[in-house]
Amino acid sequence: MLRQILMKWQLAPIFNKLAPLHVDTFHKYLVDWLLTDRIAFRQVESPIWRKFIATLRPEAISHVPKSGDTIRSWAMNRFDIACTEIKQHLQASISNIHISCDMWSSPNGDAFLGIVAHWMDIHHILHTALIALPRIMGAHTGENIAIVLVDILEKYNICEKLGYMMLDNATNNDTAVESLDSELIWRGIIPVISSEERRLRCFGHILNLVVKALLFGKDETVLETSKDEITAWRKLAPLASYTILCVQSDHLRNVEITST
Amino acid sequence: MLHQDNDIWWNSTYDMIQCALQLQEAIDRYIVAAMAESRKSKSKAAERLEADQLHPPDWDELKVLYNLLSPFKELTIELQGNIVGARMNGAIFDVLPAMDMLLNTFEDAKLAYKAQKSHFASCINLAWMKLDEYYNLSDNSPVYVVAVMLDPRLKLQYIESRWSTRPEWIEMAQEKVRTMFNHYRNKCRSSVPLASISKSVSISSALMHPESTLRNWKYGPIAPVPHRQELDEYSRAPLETEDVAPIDYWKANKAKYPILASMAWDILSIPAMSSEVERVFSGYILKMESLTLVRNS
Repeated sequence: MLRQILMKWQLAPIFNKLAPLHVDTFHKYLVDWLLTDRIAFRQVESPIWRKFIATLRPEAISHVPKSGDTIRSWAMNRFDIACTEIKQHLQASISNIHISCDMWSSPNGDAFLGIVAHWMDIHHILHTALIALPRIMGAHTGENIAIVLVDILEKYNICEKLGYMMLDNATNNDTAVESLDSELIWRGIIPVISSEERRLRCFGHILNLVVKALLFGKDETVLETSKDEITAWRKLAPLASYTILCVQSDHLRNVEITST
Repeated sequence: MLHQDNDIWWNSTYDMIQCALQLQEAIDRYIVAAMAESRKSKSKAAERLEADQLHPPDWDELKVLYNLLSPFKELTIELQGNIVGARMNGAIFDVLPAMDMLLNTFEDAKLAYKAQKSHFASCINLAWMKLDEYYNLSDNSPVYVVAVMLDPRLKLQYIESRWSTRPEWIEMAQEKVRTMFNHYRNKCRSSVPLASISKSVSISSALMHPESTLRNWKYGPIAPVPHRQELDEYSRAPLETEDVAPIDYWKANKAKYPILASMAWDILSIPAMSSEVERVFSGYILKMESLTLVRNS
């Protein structure tokens, strides 16, 4: 009724501006912004930023948490919801769930295991999702990796759907897949695929190793077999010269300018 | 801007050479000028530059290297996946043919360079040996052979024609395919009756129309009986000549070949590389702000 009257008086634009704040949407975008743009959670505590928000929308400021910890718990909540969603997707897959994972160290020395799942949904569309990023405590042995992996598989309830593992050539990945099998058996799940068959090698890493062999041939086992070849790669002098040139003279960076 | 290779980026050497070749003239001119200048000022840099100056034979060598490396660049791009659509995961059925292709290229190149008495022959041999090592390791899993078999444009005919000189390899490949097929056949057999009952008769409709339950049972759709012939029939059928994506082919033919289709879902969803994990790490996850979140989860 009020709206109709206002419309009649062509006050609709003002009316729209004064539409009540949709608090849930506001909170959603607030967290989205902080997470995607990698803003510190403490940002919401900044007085000047709060002033900025208050200028835009005076009543909005009462809905901005006073502490970054609240944002953190909201983000965690969002994380749990996303996990449940992924779990449902994984459960509904018509294919096995394949895993690729790799270990990385952060600048402060912590090691993280990125675990990515690959599967096909009921509409035959392929999916790829990061399902966990746990910190690895202790030595980075295959056994340790396997225990962490099985924990994640159990969390998503996909132990029985586990398919193949696409990993790089590191030897601890060999033991990881082997230990994964015994870990699964230990927890009462009998794997259908043997660990030998399950362990696949990332083709990109293979290509990279082959190129390295071609350029530098450093692999000791290869060199042992044919001693003539030791000198062979040293002859790739132009490559070395060029690399040295690159390193030596920063002036080379100006080459492009002079050549054009 | 000149590129320099590094250990982290795949194909960075290739990119470096490509860049150098494009700027060949400029680099040569620069070095000559720099040498003249440092000679004038009598600095030691002149000697070093002279030692590293690239002469025409050096450039030729870089060109050879460039050509040798280009298939790797191409394959990395093609198989790393994440292309939206049917080939999002990078195609596992391409891995074996890609390895065959590279080994073959190496063998040809090795002969050619050996004839020229070029040291490239040894380099190529080293690469060949490395690739062969992984080629043999790929034998540990039936996945690669089965993936090729599930490509309707190749089937096992690819293996039979490309490996024609190695009959024992062909036999092993056929054995792998048969073993996996039998495994899926057994799995299908045990799951079919349950699925068809729960689908065709819902409890409420059975209560409301008691007579229709029997009719449903008698005339209802019968799940295609998985039989031994499915694999043979598929192998005998002519190769798909059109450029159809394997997943699309199995979508269209899942009623005809139910067992092979269920195999296809499992095998064709395997990525060819672990590049997705790398993307995660080269992305945004390990920024300091996110660490508190990660640590407590």
